[in-house]
Amino acid sequence: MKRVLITGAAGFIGGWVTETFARAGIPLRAGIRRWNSAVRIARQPVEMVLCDVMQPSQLQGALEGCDAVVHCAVGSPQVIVEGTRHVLQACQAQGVQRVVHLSSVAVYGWATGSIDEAHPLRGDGNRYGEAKIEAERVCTELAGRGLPVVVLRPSVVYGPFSDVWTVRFARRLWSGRWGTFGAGGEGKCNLVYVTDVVQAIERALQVDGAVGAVFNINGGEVVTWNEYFTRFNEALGRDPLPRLKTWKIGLRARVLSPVRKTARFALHRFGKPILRLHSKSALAAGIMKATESSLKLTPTSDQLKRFRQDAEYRIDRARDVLGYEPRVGVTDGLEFCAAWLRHHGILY
Amino acid sequence: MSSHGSLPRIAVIGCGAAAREFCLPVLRRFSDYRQRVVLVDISAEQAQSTARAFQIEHWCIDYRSLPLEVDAAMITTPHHWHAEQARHFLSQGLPVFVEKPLGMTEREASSMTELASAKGAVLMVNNYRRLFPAYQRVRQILSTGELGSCRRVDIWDGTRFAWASASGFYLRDARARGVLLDRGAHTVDILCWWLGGCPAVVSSRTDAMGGVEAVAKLELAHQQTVIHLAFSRLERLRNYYELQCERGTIRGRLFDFSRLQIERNGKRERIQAGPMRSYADWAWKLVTNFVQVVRGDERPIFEARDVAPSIGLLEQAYRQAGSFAMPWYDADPNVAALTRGDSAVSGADPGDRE
Repeated sequence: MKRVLITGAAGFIGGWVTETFARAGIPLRAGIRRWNSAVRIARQPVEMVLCDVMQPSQLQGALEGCDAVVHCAVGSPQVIVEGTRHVLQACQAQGVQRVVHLSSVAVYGWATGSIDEAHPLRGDGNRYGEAKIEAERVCTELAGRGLPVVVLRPSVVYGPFSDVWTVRFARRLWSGRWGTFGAGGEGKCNLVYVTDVVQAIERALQVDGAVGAVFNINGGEVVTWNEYFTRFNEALGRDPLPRLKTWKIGLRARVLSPVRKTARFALHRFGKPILRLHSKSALAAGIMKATESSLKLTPTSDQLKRFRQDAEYRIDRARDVLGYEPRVGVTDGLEFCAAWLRHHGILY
Repeated sequence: MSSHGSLPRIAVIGCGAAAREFCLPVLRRFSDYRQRVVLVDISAEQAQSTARAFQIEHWCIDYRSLPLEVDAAMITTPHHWHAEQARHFLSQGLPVFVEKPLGMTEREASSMTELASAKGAVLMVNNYRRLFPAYQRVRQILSTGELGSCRRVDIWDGTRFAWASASGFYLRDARARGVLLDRGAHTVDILCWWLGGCPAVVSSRTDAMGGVEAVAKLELAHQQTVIHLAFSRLERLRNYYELQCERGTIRGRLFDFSRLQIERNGKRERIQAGPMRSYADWAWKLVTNFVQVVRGDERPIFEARDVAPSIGLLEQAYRQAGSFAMPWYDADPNVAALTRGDSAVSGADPGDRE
């Protein structure tokens, strides 16, 4: 490889690809959408460029001198689908030799059982999953025109810098108001540690047999959600978790659902006035904080469904073709997370 | 402030976020600001677009050849240009307002303050947290000895970096340095101001890996006081200060500008030190003070020479900075394998091996 362009390099997975490749001396260019998102990767002397995947002119400049691309950028469904199209079209125009597209096991929807790459794709009403299916179709379309694309479908990617699967759950566990869910938490968690995903990406960039194929990327140890919560809680050094009453949590999730939607809408539409009110009224600040805390500590109905979902994503193809082998077990992965959370002062 | 008064002629050097968010919103309250402000930016595009946005007539790309004679300058460029640009205007005896940090080093800071003294020019710096009523009350409590001498200070200062940097300079260029200079310029100044002197650096650690640091932790000492500071621009920290004194403890939220709490004899007392105001209001108050100083209507609330010692402390912290242990990088088998080249880059295609 001459040089790899990483789109979404300031994000969770893109950031790990950037940091790990930079440490390994792999020539790279980190594509970011805004400068202020690049704090993490700026700790290393990496080349950074503005690369908004919705702006094809920026992509052309960012791709100059690159012969490979790791497409990690995500966003709204439109960004996922049209951004992927822009990236792939720019790659084709510039004769890029290899593109690794980061998809997701969300493309399988709520399917259960043992799931390999041949399993039918179904978004099941999940906007993210449906957008990822559409983006994969874009990959297939461009691959049909000769672009060497590899698609990876990671499962539940956790690790330092993960907001969704690490920080949020750590805060929930730290709050003392989280627990295990009995039968409602016995679904399979499909954790994959983030640098195992980086390993898969690096191999997908190199292995010739990978071109045109799709790979599930999962961890080596499949645990239940209850086990995840229990082991993460232990790694954080907290008191043992109580068993929660699932019906009570489910009811709370349903009651808070409209509050969550309203809060999201209000922040989106009236963000600045709300912030002003927050800074000028102690009462308003107190109400906002209590509401935010309540929403963050209550799982959504979709999350509760996920905690029950009995699905396992198989990685035989990644093992056979890419030579992928997960190296970070759940115990080590959670220890890394706990050390990172303590270091960053996130829990208090 | 009256919107009908006449604005002194002011050059605003640097048309990035600091100018747009803090300086120009204040200057445009004057009815004649369109003709009396000169915008300067090394990027003609940036200068022009700012001029268009604020309907300002004059702009140029070189602060040394302005299209208009000016009465004062406001410098909102990246840190490493502050000293050179401020000296240019101070040497002409003009009042200067500099965005924080005052300079990169103690030497730079003192070169500016000494020149200002020699020329009799006012030099101010945008360390506006000194205006927070809660912070002023803390200083008062410490200086009067109301709670006895201070034994320990802990401050956590961190939020996700959201500065709308136009050039990316703060992240692309190691000269910008990282969170320690960025947030430390406020917090370390406040600490020195509270304690009435500049502490010594006991230890300093950052997470820089050849670039600019995002997390920094300092241990300092001042007379009998042990001080721990934590900074981050990756994550929101607890953003809290706690000062343990002989006869009580002062606590407050870093961004609660008006309230604090004192605990003594087992009792907690909440203090409302001033009105609730938004963050930008305080910066605007200081910018307004500078304009009135230039007009001769007010005296500076504080001057750059008051802030300068904290720059020396930050410089010392950078000189002594070591690295954190970061097992999530150093002990990760995937990172290790890639780093030593034990990967598909150097290995054969798995298909070939079979």
